[in-house]
Amino acid sequence: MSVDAPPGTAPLLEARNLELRYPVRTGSIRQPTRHVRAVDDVSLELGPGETLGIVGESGCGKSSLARCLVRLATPTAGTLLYRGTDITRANQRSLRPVRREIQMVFQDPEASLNGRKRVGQILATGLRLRGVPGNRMKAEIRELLRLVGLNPEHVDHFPHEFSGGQRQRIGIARALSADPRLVVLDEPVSALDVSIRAQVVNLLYDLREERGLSYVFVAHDLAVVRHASDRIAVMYLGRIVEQSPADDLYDHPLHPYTAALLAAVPVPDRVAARGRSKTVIRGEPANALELPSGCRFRPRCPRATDVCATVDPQLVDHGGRHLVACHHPLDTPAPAREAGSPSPA
Amino acid sequence: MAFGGLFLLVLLLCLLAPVYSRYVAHIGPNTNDITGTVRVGGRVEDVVSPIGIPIGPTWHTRFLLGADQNGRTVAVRLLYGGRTSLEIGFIAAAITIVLGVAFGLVAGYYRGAVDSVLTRFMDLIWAYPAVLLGVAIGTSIAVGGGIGIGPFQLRGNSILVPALVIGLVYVPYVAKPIRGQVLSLREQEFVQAARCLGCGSLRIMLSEILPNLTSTILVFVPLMVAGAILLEASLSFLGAGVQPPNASWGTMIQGGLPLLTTSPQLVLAPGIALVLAVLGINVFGEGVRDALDPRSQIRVGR
Repeated sequence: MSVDAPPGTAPLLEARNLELRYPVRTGSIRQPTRHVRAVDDVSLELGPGETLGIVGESGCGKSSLARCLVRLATPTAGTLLYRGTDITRANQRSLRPVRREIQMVFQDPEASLNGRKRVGQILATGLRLRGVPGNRMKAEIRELLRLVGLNPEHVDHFPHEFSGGQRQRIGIARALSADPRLVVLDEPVSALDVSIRAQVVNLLYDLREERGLSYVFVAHDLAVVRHASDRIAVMYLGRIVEQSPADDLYDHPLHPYTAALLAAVPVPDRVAARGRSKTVIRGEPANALELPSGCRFRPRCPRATDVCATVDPQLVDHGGRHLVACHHPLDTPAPAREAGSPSPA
Repeated sequence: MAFGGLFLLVLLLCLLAPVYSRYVAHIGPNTNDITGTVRVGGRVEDVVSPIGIPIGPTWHTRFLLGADQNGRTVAVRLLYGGRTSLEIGFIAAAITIVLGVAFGLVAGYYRGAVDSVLTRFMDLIWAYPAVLLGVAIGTSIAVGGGIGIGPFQLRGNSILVPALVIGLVYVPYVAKPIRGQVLSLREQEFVQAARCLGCGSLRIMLSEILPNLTSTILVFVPLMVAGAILLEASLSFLGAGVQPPNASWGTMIQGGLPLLTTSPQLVLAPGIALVLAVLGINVFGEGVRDALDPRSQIRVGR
């Protein structure tokens, strides 16, 4: 079900039916009885220079997917290809040449920097592993700091001497120190003050243009990824429920969940706001240990019918590389509703 | 701060004892003067009376703190004994910290089977009371006339025997908390970032995790030195540590015990020295930790 890449561009990263399960040990018998599928049958593709946005509410498996893509977690099933090489189960040693090219920016700028190391030392690690000679090191570190908009004089400061936004810039500089092709951004701005989010997002855009990077941009907020992404994937309980080119997703959402997410984004433009659908979903995502039968969004879905309770919808292309996993996508008329509201799981 | 300075002074006096004892003491720790006499306040008194009671403190250059039943000077033995005690304390603490941190790092970082094996082994050592295990190992080495591993020969009466024994006995006390801290540190995002950059396990352990353990280790160093000095005194008191006639605070207390009622200074002098040294090391360690923590730099200006 993977999407065909546009002609001429071989995919940089390709995930096929990726799955990451966590065993849940229950009771005193240490037998893994049940599993949580944090990432369930996810396929996606990213070309060079492309940005893929991944959105979904908390706990939908976005971060688990991000950790799989950089191989900090080993997928329990499926295939992960980087430039045609299978790295799904590659061990630490054989991963090393690939590691450098796939970097990650973490969510919490406080926890992602070693508080015992000075900024210069943090940035030197990546440079040294890349083989930058010792006499070039200082200049390279200053260049990296300048690149992310920090004062190169602060090279000897400790992370706790910086503000949250500056720390995230250090995190970005560290990712760049390895000279990557692909950067996985795991909610890079959600821990930051609203006032400095835009600055950091703009920095990320500039770096992408300057360095020809590809991004996987994970966020729980559609507004943040809108202009950054070429394509956007919407996740719900470990699954991708809709994937399409960015503008198409915003203009014509097909999955009721996407529509609800979009409705939750505040729009300053009153004219645009008037035309928006007012889809509001209630309740919480189903327990990942006890998924509802059929479509996992069914208990909260305003369009759910009987078929949704029995058949798990698959991702289907609705034209223009717009994929959606729904029995009643929004480009079809609303289904005739059975008496009463959809029964909860 | 005043207390810190005071204890630093005590610690320095203790540590420098080997350097200055030659100038303060004009005789060695084992020089005995059992048949000698000493002039105290115009009267001439036996160093050791005919019924075997040694002279008390003269507060004078000779026999400052009195003599023991063999006519040896308590003050001089206190100096040389302190040197032995501190040497053993620091060597043992070094062994404990190095092995404890290494075990804790490896067990906490690799988890799984490596962790299980190391942790069970630590539990095994931990299950024995420290003093009992120390007596058992110390006595067997001393009685066996020492051990030899390859080129390293350890004679039974060497002070390295109690140092080694004490060092090994305390390893789990450091390894366990270190392991616990490593278990949580290895999940931190900065460790994952290092793995992302392509750092190997050894580099992650030494350059990412170890620096974050320094404040814990710095807390342990004075605790372990103090603990080792106390355990050395206990072992020597029980005859399993420093072997006579070598002076140590433990052997001095043991030697003075039979005369506790008539010559309490034989027990009190090394006992007080022990308390002062251990207290001084602990308070000094606290100060070092505060000074070295980069996050506490804001407090320097008070």
